Amino acid sequence: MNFRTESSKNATIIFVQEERLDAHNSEHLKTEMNRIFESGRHDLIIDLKDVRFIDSSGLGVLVSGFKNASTRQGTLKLSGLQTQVRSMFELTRLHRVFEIFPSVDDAIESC
Amino acid sequence: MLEQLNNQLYDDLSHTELLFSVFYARYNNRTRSLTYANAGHNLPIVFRTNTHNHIELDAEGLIIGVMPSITFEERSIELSTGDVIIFYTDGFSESTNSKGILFGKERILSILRSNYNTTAEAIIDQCYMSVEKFSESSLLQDDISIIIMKIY
Repeated sequence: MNFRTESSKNATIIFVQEERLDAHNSEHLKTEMNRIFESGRHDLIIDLKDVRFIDSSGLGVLVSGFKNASTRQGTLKLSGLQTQVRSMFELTRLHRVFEIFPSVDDAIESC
Repeated sequence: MLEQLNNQLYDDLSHTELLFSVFYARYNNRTRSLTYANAGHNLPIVFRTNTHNHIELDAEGLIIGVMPSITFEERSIELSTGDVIIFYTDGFSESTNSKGILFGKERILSILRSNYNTTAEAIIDQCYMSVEKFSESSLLQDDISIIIMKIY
């Protein structure tokens, strides 16, 4: 899976550089999130600006990351949701569970 | 029902890091009332034969496995003779063709508009033929489940 990880002052950002976040690649995102949590960083932002499609595996991985962050007293926020991805979050009502920001800069500012 | 399902399965689902969606409905044949609740599932479509309008069935809730305790909303709708209801999974609407375009809700509606007069079985056959033709392959990316309910 293509992604880029950056650290800002208050959070670690994973830029998902794929058009799809689904059963084929969601495990890689999970591995990267876990790596960041285990390194002691607990505040994560996942930027989905490039993602055009997400399925239940993708959602599952984000939910699992969200729960892991919470158990560590950290946060997992999302940014850059595109149309179909946004629809999936609304259908599953997950848009009420996650803090979602229009852009990664907005998410960073909130930390 | 959905609340109990979520409560009972939450720990297991957290452990396996899985989620799942459910749409639960009960039909009363005498009153023709369909009562339903939704946990993050694709919205079933009710196609009204007399007006050719359609409604998507939604109710407040959350996909199962995210939070330990959820309150689900229960709603109901009156059905009439000739109404066709399609319940389906995301593998159907999210089938893609070689250009990456999704099959989508509009194509599903189009099938209902053209086939509402036929039997439920014939409508399902048409759904599968359409998606196979659209995806230009007999190999689907995700499983598809469809239920057609027709009111006589």
